[in-house]
Parts: sequence; C-alpha cells; structure tokens
Amino acid sequence: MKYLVLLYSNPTAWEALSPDDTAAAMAFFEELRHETVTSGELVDTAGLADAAHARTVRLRDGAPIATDGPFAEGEEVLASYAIYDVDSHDRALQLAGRVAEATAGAVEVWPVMDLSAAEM
Amino acid sequence: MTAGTDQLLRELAPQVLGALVRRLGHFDTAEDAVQEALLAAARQWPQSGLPDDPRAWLITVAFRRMTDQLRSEQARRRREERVLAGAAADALAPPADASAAARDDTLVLLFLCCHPALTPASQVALTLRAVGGLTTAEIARAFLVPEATMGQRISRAKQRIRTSRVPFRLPPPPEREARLQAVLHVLYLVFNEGYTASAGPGLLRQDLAREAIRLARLLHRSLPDHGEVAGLLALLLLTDARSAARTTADGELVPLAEQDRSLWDRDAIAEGVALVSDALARPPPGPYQLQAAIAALHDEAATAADTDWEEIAVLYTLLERVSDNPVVRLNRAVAVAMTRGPEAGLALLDSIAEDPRLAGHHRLHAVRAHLLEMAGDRDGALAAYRTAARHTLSLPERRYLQRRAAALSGAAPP
Repeated sequence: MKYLVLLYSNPTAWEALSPDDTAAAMAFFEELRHETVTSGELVDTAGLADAAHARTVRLRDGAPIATDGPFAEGEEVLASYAIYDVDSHDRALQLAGRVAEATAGAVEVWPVMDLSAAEM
Repeated sequence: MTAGTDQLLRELAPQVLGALVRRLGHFDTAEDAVQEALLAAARQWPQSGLPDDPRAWLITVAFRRMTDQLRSEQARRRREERVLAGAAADALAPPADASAAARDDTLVLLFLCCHPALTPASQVALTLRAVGGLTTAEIARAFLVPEATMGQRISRAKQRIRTSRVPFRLPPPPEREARLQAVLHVLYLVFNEGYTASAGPGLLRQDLAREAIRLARLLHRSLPDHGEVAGLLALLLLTDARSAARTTADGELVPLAEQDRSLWDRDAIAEGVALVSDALARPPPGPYQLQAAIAALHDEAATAADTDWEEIAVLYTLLERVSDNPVVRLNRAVAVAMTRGPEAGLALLDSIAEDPRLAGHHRLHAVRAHLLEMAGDRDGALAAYRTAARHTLSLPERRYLQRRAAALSGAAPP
C-alpha cells in the first residue's frame, strides 16, 4: 500500500534552530531515508524549497493564472514529502510519527488510491 | 527477444539456480549470477541461435559469474576455490533423473523464497525473480515502484535468507504443510496483483497473473496429489478465464452479473473445472478448493440468472468454517440474498457488520447498497453506494460505485 506523507513545518521556527539542532534534524532525515531505502519501502522523497518560490495556479476567466504563494507567515507550510510502499497502515503512521517527533511539525498521512479493483 | 526464448529462459531459470545452489550453496550469489546469465542469453541467443544444450550454457555462464563474484570476495578466496574446483563438473552433469531433480529444485526454491523470515512483499519479489526468472526492472514496473526500491527489497530478502542459514532442501515434514500454505499465499498474491489491475502498465500486470498460473502449474506438477495445490491452480484458472470481460476498453469495471460471457476463456474453464472436481474428490476441502468450486459454479452458468446460488451459499458456509475471513461472510450474505431474497441477506449483513475487522470497510457498504437496491430501497442504496465510494482506496472501484449511485439518483456521474 502506498502512502503520501506530507510534513508541514514552521519556517521561522526552523530558521531559529541552533546549528546543532539543524544538524540533528538533517541527520534524522538522512537516517530515515537510508532505512526506508534499505527496507525497500521508499518510493520517492524530497524536501521542498522555501514558500517564496511556490506558486498557486488557478483558472481565472478561463485561463490558468499563477500567483505567488501559498504564504503563511508564522504558520506551517509544506516542507517535504515522501511516498512509501509499506505492508500496513500502522507502518505508515509509525514512519510519520518519527518525522513528527524529529521536527515538531504536523505530518499528514494520505493513502494513495490503488489502480487495482476487486471483483464486484 | 523472441517470446519463445523468453519462455524458455523463464522455465530454465529455477532449474539453473537449483543446480548451482544444490551443489555450491551461496543462494544469494548464485541468484545474482543466474540473473546475469539470463540477461546474457536474452542478448546473445536471438543472434547466435539457440545453444545445443541451453541449460548447460546457462549453468556454465552463471557458474563463471559466480566464481568471479566469490573470487572478488578476497577473504574467502582460497577456501572457495578449492570447493569450486570440484563442484563445476558436478553442477554441469545432468542428474540421473534430470526432470525429477528440476521439479524438486523448483519446489525447494519456492519454499526458500516464501520463507517466514521474509515479509510478504519480499516473498513475492524474490519468488518472481528467483523462480519466475523476471528481472528486477520488470517486477518493479509491475508493482509501480522504482527499480531501486524493488532491488533493495530483493537484496534484503536474500540477505535475510543468508543470515537465517536456511538450508537448500525441503522443509522437514512437520513444518512442510505450513510452509506450503505460505507458498500458495504468495502465488495468490502475485496473481491478484496482476488480475485485479484495471490500469497501469496493463500488459506487464497481466503477465503477473499468467506468471502466477505458470508457477502454480509447476507446483502442481511437483505435488500432483495435494488438494489445495490443485485447488489454487483451479481457482487462478477459473478466475483468469473471466479477465477479458471484467473491464471495458476504457478500464471501467464490469460486475460479474453484467459480463459478456462469450468473452470467457472456455479452455481455461474446462481445465479449472476438471482440476477442482478431481481435488474435491479428496476431502476435506481447503479454502482454495472451496473458492475454486465457487468460481466454477459462476463460470459454468450460461447466464447470470442460471447461477446455482443455493450451492454457492453452501460452499460459502463451508468456507467460513475453514477460513476466518469476514469478507467470506459478506459474500455468503450475497448468496443468501440471491436464494432467499434481499431481506434475508440484509439481516445476515447486520450480524456481520459488528465484526470490528469490517469497520469502515467499503465492501460492507457496497454489499449493503447492492442488497438495498435489490430490495427496492432507492434512497438507502444511494446512500450506501456513496459511503462505499468514499471508503474504497481503489480508483476503479470508486468510479464503479459512483456510477451505480449516479444511475440510482438519475444524475450523470460526477
């Protein structure tokens, strides 16, 4: 079962971290990546650039228009994503729990829709 | 590569691997070497023509790779070479009863790949590679994960087998039956992964269904008197026989009752029915035999209305006794509704709904919707279809359930 795990964190709080804490967080992500690569569970993961680079595209008067943002001063913004292929729902929650512990951010866990279907 | 070469290579893969591991050990190194030999053959044979003895060719090439690999592990060097020198000729020489030995090796490999120290996902991946002769890239594409991810799963599985020091022989009789159940389950998982695919790289996924049937055949050839092995092969054949009718050209699901039965594969049905009839003559029937018997009743009905639901309901009752699976009880509720009316089915459903394993399960709501629709409760059915559509994690199932809801509400599907 594939799960999309999204980390939302507060960029201001992240910037305020001490060099040691930053290094510890980086080490955590590297360790998590290594562990899930080795276990054959990691499908894809990446950290995301600062929200200043993000754009939201919507249809306006029939044409797609890109606007800056989403901005969320002092709030949590999307910081990284990972897709895991795991044996159970609990395992996905467990991985997300470790990210939450290491970052103090909010971690969303979304099951990815499966393309297979049972007999009806 | 031609289809003929491909097929030959897949048949020879477990025989070559078995021959090497039986005599040299080192399952993980041997498995890598066999993969390389298969790739070399796939490249060379179509140009240079088939060697006189393809099996010996593969063993020789794989043996050479294996020697290179082991030699490069410096610490082991001297010890290995002494062992290898004598073993080369030994591995090449065909055993006294070549076909029986190949059958045994395939069986031992299946047991090894489905070892309980491995997770189900790893068992599936390793079985497809070591016994099925598929490449890591092919397996990764079929399971919609990156090749590196699948590669890790396989190498980790092999590492587990190495550290668990599993010997290359059949498990001793006391544990053999339980281990065989794991093998049957893995083949069933491989089949389902391919059969239930309604999208994705379609051809490759259907290959998985065919591969599972091929491996189940190999297993049946090794253990012709085992009822559940025959039952599994029959179940896969009888289910796969309907595959051409289960989706429309644009990937929409077609429920069993609405399938065009002229598209069903009559030869597969005949083979499956013969297998399951023979297996059922050897009681007591296990879960695969019972499921195969149910599939046979569906497949033998000329129209949906001709389906022998009485018999199917009886078989589901037997199946409930041997497998503690709430989905079986759901299916029995459908069969009961078809024989004694939707109200009887719904009453049964109410008692099943208390099973905590079905809490939030979309199938419970889908069955309820179907029975409410049969009972003429349009609003109730509509609500249940919508709940089921929200709960399923399958995209084609969601589309199907939304279509049913839309048909009831008279609106166009969203």
